[in-house]
Amino acid sequence: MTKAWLPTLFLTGTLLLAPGCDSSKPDLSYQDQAIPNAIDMHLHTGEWALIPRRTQAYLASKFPFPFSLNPAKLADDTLSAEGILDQMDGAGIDKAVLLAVYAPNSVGITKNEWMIQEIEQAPERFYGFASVQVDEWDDDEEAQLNGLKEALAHPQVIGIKLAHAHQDFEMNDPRFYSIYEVAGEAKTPVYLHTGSSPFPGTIDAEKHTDAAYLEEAISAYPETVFILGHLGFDFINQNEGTLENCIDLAKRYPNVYLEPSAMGSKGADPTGEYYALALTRIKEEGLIDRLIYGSDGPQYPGFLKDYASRTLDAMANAEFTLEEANAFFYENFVRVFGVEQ
Amino acid sequence: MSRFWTLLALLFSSTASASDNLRYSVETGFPWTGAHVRSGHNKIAWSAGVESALFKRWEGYAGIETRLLDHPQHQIRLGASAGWVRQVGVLGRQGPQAALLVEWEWDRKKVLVPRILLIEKAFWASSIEDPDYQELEDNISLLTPLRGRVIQVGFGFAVGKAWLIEPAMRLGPVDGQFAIPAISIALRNRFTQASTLAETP
Repeated sequence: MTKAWLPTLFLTGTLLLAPGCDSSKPDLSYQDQAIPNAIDMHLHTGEWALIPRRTQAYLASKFPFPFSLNPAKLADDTLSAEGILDQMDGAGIDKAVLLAVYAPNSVGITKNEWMIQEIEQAPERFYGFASVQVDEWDDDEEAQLNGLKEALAHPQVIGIKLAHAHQDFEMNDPRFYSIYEVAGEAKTPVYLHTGSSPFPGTIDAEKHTDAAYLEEAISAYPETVFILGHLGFDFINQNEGTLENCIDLAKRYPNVYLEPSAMGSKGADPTGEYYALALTRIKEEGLIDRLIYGSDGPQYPGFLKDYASRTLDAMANAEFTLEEANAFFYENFVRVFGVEQ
Repeated sequence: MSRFWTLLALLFSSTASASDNLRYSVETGFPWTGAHVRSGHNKIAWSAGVESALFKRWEGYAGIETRLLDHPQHQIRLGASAGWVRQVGVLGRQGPQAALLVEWEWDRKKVLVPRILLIEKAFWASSIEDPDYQELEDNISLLTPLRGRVIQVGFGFAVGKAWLIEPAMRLGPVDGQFAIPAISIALRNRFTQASTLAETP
């Protein structure tokens, strides 16, 4: 019985004390040295009302009771620029990327316009990634690409976000390669979700989740940077999934980068085993200069701090040096995106 | 549901008598608001109640209790109940719920009256709307309901000889999910020793 209550007390403490309540802005610290400029390249903003009902139910089931009964306000507060800034301050994250998403049948919609509106609330701390809606691509391609170019014209919008599994299109479908063409022309990296996903409405077929199916596009567009998000982690079966395929692509193609968001979270990897394994393999293969930090927050109050802490643990287990930690947390991002440090 | 409460009211009216120990409790707080009644004589009592969390989750129950310890200053009660849960909103669900409880109360006829309640709940939930997200029905069977193990600790302050005002805290998951601690304030009767009641003409 006591065992069952311990998480209650722990999580209560986390909820009440960790997020938002901490007015100081501590830096991340690794090996007793500060990492003052940490950047999180994977944060979601948006509106609860634009998330499909089944996904709302899934998300609500992750909220503590009684917030699960009326999750809209907590979700909207958490996903707002203000809520995200609070979490960044608590976690020691200096800057972050907010993502647009067009996945009406799975995780919902965050329009480019909404993303831009949110980053403009703190342009000194936010960047944005734009996206496209692919549901009516054969009829809508030109309009979607024009919308993408328009969003990319904003000085703070520095990347493109795609999620084949959430948006239901195959990684090796050449009809969508025009997106990579636009990215190459604009010298804008493309972030791609790889691996399965727990959200209702997600397509978990190999061609939607396995980065190996991106190889044709990666080789065809050498000027375009491809960032493989989540490292192919299998969020349904909670194992390393197609990690080795991601590493293999990064070894063979200089335009491939790696991002380990969400895979190391308490829910996906409770012991931190797979996160440490991924960082160890990346170090073994000499790919730390291709590794960029992201968390996939804000999720719930306190998530950013928790994920950063789990990342520091995984880096220690993988025997990262301080220089490698700095490369992971901001130097690689600054170099790839050409932003000021 | 209305038939259920009508039947319950009839049951109480038929078993209650002048010698019954009829106890009421009403509480409000975050997130729970509720009302409970106990009625019985000697060592057996009927109980019933209804609770709501933010008026989105409703739990009604009826049950039976026995006094394991019936002392002028201490009571330990053991009970079982059955009822119905209905939760509306994005996580809409409903179904039967069973509960086992043990409660200890210490009333020295002074100002402070502490009480501890332990409840083990089992809720055979089904979605109100289809489709819900995928996991609810998949994981629930007769032997694998949603479980909730709750501890409530209250400190009643005497208001006269018969009543207590009781701030309380409730800890424990709801439907197997983490719940932040609930706080409440209740107005409730003080207990009376059953053997005293039995001697009442």
